[in-house]
Amino acid sequence: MPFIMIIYYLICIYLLAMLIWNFVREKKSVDKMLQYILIMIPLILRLFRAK
Amino acid sequence: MSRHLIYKLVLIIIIGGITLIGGLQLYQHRHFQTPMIAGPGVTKVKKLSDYEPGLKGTMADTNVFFLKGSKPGGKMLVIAGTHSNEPAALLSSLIFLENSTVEKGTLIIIPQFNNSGGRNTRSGDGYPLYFEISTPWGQKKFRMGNRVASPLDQWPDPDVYVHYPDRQLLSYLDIRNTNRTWPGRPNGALMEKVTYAAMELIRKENVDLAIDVHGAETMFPVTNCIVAPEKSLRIATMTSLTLKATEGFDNHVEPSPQGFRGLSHREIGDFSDALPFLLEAPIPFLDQPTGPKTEDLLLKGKDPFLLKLSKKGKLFVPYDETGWPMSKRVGQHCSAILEIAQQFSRRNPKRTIEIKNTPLYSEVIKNGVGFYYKDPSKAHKKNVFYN
Repeated sequence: MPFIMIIYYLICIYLLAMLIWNFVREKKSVDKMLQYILIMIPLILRLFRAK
Repeated sequence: MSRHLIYKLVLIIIIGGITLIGGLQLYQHRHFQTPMIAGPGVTKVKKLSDYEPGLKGTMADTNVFFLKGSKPGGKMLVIAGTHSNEPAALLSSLIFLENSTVEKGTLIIIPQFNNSGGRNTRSGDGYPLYFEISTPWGQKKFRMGNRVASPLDQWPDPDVYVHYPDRQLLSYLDIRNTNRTWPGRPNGALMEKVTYAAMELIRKENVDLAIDVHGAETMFPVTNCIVAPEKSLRIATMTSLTLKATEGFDNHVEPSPQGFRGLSHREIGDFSDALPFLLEAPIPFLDQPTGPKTEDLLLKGKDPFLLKLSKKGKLFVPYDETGWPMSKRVGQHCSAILEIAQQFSRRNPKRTIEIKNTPLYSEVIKNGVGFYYKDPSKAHKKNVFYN
């Protein structure tokens, strides 16, 4: 795997971890919960290499 | 269980379900196989990876069909599916593949050049995933693809695509566009490997004519035309004039711009001895100011908004209530390809390319496109190629 791809996957992991953390911490706004889940989808698909 | 936890679980289940249903449809589309029947003229079938091993085992690899005549002559390569959302190219190439025989020379056909693009879609534009062509034996189903390769096969995109070898700066998306990555390179991105493999094919097989078949918007000036660089202009001009005189349709000539890099009609000519041509037939489906992007619009080319624009003189092709049906576009491609071969053969008798049993424009319009497709269930298994 080229070096740039490793960086991209690390960025994906970081963003996903932040989103999960925010999703878990969110207690009030359903809109924000929905946003976090939607943004997580492409990152999860990419990390698990789901085609 | 607290209320916010219930909300979260419900949201995960709903979004997960929607993602799964949508994803399943895209998965089925990506893996849908179109049967192609090698007709009586096919003498050999190779893979594009035979010319660039880096493609082996990837979604970018594709079939290359050879129709070799009994007598020696020149070689013509027909590339279809460079842009998989311009399906008249694929449909025309299949007419050649399933019906044509070659007397002199060799015809090489790549029906699905950007194979990854053919397994991609443009969900933002609401593209249909499939379209069907009526044949005497039933409906033949095809994948509707996209202009560029799937990001599942080539990722990530750069911020700016730097073309090789000219270093011209192009749109980031064009690194997945096989009409911007010519002449390609073996150690580049996947689509650069695809075009490099085609360049290797052209050089190793001593191809004389390379025809890249496309479709273009009715509101785009480079439509209904043959794009040709300086060295192909004479044949392109004679083809255009002959088609107008004998077949009665317009197909003007557009010079290939020297300063715009990565296009087949520019780079094939500059990096090989072949004469390149790019055929454009109008495809109203690709125009922006249309109604919904339906299968009907794709096949019939009828749209009320384009009709209004036509009356105001905003289109670059004649357009009326009859639209611009698929049979017209496919017929134009068939006649233009045959005429280019004839014009070349007249000037190069030792490199003659003589193709038989291919319908002309008027015949395709009269009989329809599906008339020329064979029933895969009745064909010999060894002649049916799924891709």
